[in-house]
Amino acid sequence: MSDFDFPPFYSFPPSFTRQPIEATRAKQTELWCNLIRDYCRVKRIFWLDVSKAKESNLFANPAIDRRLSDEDIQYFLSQLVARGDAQWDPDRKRCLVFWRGPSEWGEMIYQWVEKTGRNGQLLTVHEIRKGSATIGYEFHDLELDTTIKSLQALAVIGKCALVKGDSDDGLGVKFVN
Amino acid sequence: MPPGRRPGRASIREDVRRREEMAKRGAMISAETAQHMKMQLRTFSTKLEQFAIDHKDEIQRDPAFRAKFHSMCASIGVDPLTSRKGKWSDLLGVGDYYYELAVRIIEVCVATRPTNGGIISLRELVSALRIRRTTYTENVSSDDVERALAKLNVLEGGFKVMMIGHRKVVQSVPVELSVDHTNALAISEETGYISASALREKLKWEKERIMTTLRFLLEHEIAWLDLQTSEPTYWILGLMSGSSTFT
Repeated sequence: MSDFDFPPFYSFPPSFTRQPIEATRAKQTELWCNLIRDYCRVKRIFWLDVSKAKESNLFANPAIDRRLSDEDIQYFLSQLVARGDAQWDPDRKRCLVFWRGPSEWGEMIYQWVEKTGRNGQLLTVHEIRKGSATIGYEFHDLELDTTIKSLQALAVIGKCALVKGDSDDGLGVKFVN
Repeated sequence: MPPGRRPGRASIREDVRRREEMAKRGAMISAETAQHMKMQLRTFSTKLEQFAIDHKDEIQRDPAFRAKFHSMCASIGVDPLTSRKGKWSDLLGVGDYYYELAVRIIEVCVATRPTNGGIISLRELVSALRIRRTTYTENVSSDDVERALAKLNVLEGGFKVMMIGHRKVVQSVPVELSVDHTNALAISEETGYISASALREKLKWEKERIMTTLRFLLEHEIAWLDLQTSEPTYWILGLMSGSSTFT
């Protein structure tokens, strides 16, 4: 896993206390949301496990002996969800972080389809995510829900049609020009 | 004039004539002097112009050189910044330089305002400008920033440079800071933060005065609160180095 360079605000002690004044808190929220998103991107984390993240350096900076409280972690993650960059698992123990938007992933997948002449073919979601043909592409091993969202985004603009399968992973997709 | 004798008409006439003569001569001399000085000044001005042309690049590039050039201009009463249309700014682009710099300063102040409430140390402002690495800010000095800020003063409710403790601080919001506020801010100089106990010990304030001041700094977004210490601390981000990179 690649190293992550924490931004400067992560080294300022008050960053780890939820600010009482709304305007300051808005700025703080923006900083935390960007940090969580960037951290997940660099570490290629799709599902952020809250209890695991709590023990990681993401929410605690041992160098200055500060950490976010459980409530504040929940708060900033909820703000990330509110701005559309993440989605809660129903039990709120995990958070699916969209460090790349569905349409962005969709565009990548579509480029691969065009480049390799797979237009008009019926592919399964599993083939796209796990198939040997996509090894080396950034969307290889993409998280399942994110993949489906990305394909749905492509379907909306008429670039593919989804075909029901026996499971989510078995979902079929037919790309069109 | 001897007593008992009134001056004759002739002597009065003579007196007037002499006075007129003297005035005429005096005028001639001062006209000559003025003419001479004007010529000198013109020569000097031409030389200064030539100097400016010869050293244009250095003036633009080197802050120390620029500062010296400015003090030289100031000593003969030439202000190369006063007019954008003036020949000096045409010649050097110095007017443009400070206008452009002023624009960058505004950008930094606006961008960092959510973090520091519009209070930023001159030092941090300069380093934020340098980080941007644009033509106008790469080699900027605090002297340049102050000059550009002086230009910004034509804007109403504009930018203020003040001393807080031993530091020059730029304020870009029209909030009136009281002596209590600036005294409290000065306490953060060494550690970056203020606490109630520090204000009590160093300024001998009563509880209410302390709380009013701390509350003000929080509410005006100048201070950030840290509750993970034995007593709450109030961090003045704009006066800490590195805080301008939060954006």
